[in-house]
Amino acid sequence: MNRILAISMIVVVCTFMVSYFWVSGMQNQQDHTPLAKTTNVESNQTTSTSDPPVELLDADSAKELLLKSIREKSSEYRMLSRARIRRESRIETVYIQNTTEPNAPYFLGTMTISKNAENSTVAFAIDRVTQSIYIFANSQWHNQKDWILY
Amino acid sequence: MIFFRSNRFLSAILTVATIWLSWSIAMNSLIYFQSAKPTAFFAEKGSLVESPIWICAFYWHITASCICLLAGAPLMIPAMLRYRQLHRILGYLYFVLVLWIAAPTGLIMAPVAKGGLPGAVGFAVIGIGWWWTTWNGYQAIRKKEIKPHINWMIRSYSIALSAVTFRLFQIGLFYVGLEDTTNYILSIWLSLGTSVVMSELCIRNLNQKTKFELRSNIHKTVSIEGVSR
Repeated sequence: MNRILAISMIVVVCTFMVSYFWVSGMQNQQDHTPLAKTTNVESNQTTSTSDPPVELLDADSAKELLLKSIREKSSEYRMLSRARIRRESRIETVYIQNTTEPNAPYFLGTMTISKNAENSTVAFAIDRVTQSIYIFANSQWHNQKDWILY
Repeated sequence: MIFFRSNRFLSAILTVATIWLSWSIAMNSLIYFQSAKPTAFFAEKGSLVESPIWICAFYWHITASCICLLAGAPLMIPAMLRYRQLHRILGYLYFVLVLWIAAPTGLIMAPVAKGGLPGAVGFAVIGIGWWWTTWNGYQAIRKKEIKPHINWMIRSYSIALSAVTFRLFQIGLFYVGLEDTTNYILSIWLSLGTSVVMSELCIRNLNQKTKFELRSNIHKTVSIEGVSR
């Protein structure tokens, strides 16, 4: 191995280690920040770190929130999926995965939407803290604000 | 690009397609750097996104791999070989990125890849193959063995391009209607197979061409000598 390759290897390994410690440091910092503070900073409210943390959504509340949000959002048309579901669609079932991990930031799940007896599955994620809902459609995630409706 | 030198038209089309697709992959990867939204890939990974080693490996891998794809293209164009200094610089860049970043980080992520064991093994084989072919290419040029260097580097870049063929297979199989995980696993192995077959075809084609050129050069030399006598 020549000098260029050897030096580059050392540089790369060191930089990788630095980035690793930087990322883990950032994550530790986030872990120690109370959830309440994070939420309230977003809504421009002042709070002390002693505020009780926001109660995390359980699976049933998440399901309810998702269904409510979809119904509100899709007054005219149902939400987009690859299958282009239209107004006569109706949500059949909602599956929430990942509920065994209380600290996971998102509820991940799928829901089956039926249209004229044809089922279509759409993926979604619910942010536990901000309670934002994301729908996977057109190869990317959309949050409630930018759901594309058909 | 060194695809099929005997068929320049096909070679030109493949060159343009390769560069364009590599560029598209690089552009699509930007979403991981600029978007605050959870991408589908991250959402799929669940709690893995919390792992510092995985997240570092992921970002290093996509950055290095995209640069490799783009840096590798001019190295494979025979007309660019006349710019020796550029070839040397890009060559070193490619070696460093593949050997120390892209392939090792790919191997870090392979065990937790989508698709279970078949997916993990597929990515591991690609990672090891990429590293091994690149290392051999480097060793060959250190010994000033040009022909083995070209052959190994064709194999290496072909494995790098499995990132492109992987996505093409995924899209194709999606439209066939294959289930997501099966599609993913099949795409990994098909892209690996395509890379191996394409590289060997290119090397064979290149060697045949070289032999033909050599033979015709000998023939010319003999004829010229015959005329001069």
